[in-house]
Amino acid sequence: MSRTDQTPGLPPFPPDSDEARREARRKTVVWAVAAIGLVLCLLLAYNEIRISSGLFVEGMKAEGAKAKDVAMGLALTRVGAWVAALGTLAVYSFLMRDNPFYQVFEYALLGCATGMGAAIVLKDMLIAKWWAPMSEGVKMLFHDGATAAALGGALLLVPGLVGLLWYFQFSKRYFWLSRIPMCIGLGAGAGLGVKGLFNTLMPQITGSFKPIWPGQQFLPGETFWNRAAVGAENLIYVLGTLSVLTYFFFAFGRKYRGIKAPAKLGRWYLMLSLGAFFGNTFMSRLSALIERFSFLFSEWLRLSKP
Amino acid sequence: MAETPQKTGMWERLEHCDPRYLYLIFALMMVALEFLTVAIPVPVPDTVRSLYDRIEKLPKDKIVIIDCSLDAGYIAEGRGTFEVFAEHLLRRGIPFAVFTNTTFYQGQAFALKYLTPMAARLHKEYGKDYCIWGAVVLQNGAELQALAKDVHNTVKVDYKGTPLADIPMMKNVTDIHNVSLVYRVAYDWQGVQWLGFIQGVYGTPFACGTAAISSSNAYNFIRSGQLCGLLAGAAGSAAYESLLDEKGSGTRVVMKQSFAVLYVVGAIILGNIAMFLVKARKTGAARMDSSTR
Repeated sequence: MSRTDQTPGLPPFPPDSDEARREARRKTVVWAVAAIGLVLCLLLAYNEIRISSGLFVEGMKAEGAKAKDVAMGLALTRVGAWVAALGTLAVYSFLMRDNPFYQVFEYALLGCATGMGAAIVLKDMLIAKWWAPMSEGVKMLFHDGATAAALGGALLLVPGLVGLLWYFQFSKRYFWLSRIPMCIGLGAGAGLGVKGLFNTLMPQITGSFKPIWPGQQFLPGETFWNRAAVGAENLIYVLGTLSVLTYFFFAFGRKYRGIKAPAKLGRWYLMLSLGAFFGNTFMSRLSALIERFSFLFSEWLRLSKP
Repeated sequence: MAETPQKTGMWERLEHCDPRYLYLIFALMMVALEFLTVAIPVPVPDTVRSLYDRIEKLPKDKIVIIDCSLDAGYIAEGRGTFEVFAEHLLRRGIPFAVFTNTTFYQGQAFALKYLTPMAARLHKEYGKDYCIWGAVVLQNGAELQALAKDVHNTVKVDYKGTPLADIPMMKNVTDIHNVSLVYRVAYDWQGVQWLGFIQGVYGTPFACGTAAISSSNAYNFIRSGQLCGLLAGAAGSAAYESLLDEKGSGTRVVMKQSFAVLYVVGAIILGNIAMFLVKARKTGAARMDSSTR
């Protein structure tokens, strides 16, 4: 008698070959995943109906004739939550492997960011900062004459025209014209840069002169041990500044003892600071991950408190 | 004679563990922590306490400017650093104006999302206790200089389109001398513009809340006295929350971070033990082989 129960029209059970066994295992996994997915979808649908109806009822409590609009608006916020949740899950699906679900959201993000960037430049920069005050100034110039406000607005036409010279970059013959806005930009940028740099760096330089033993004039009324602690901290700081500067001092090479030892110390300081940088990076990325989990459970599924 | 298949021990399996199992365990831990609250002691660093003390001493006839450059990628840490600061100002009754740089266009939406319920809870009024300028181009030296000299002409209107002169708290704010502090919430450390053109020129105190990843650059400016306070990442906002005696988003993130760090450190230690043990076993087996031959 055969070990397998053979029913006419059906494959033998248990499967009689390795290939059949593999196929059976694959089908079992597919059906199990499909069943779990179906149950999860039903649970999600039930949860969503509960949340949306709750929001709708809350909105209907609003006073006045607009209660229905408020309710609809609240219920529609769920669309945003769903898009954000699907986007989050799509991005994390990359942890398994690259997949179309991830790629769709990747391209969608790129498209949205580009479109949004263009809209911001147009709305908040070109229209708000240039076109609106310039056209207003020109109108005032015709109606009220050459007042200060009218001239201030109308003169914005000049930087607009200078800015348009950039487009001569596409012309071989008039390319030189595009250098005019470039020179103006570089000049203004350099002037502002020097001023900003001076105001930022000078306090840094003066701040790096620290007393190794902070006396009465630096820490009035402090105990001996507090002074010692601040002194030790300052010593570490000053040593770090000098040794790292020596590490990046390449004029003499590292053959002199007076350069070699401090440069080595500087290297240690750099490694310690890079370690601190890495630790901070890890904490930032971790926070982003934690926030996404919180979003999924509190804002999307509304299972935990926000 | 047929060779018997070599058994793989626990350490071998651990050494070659698929990282996706580690992600799964991590995700399950995060899900569990969503529903649990564990009290974690939060130390308060000097950089946070100095900012808190400064807010306690700020005059109420001047405004505070908040540069709210929040974006979705930084919201995990930025939310806390923005909320605690705004809450402290609202509690103390110090008027403040929030704006967002056009580069971080999402900042305005986030500011509205977090400020509106907070103001309602503390019974504060828009226009009197706080206002939102909206998206303003204020990130280069020239723009900051213009703001310092003439606030009304640089910003012009708030996010609703109301002229600044018509907003009660902004009526007497003409230039930077009517500003008692500038606070910047942003992922990156781009505060040098504020230091170079506002703090360095007019002496207006400047503080910031950054992501932990960017805080390493900001610490340089603490010792030189250019920054009067720094909230570095979720830990910074959690420390500020403990000073305000409340448990907000910073405290929750720090609690989860602590467990996550423990898990990662544990995984690193276990992985290293497994690697050294397997290596030692292989070396021992090789020595045995060579001696028997």
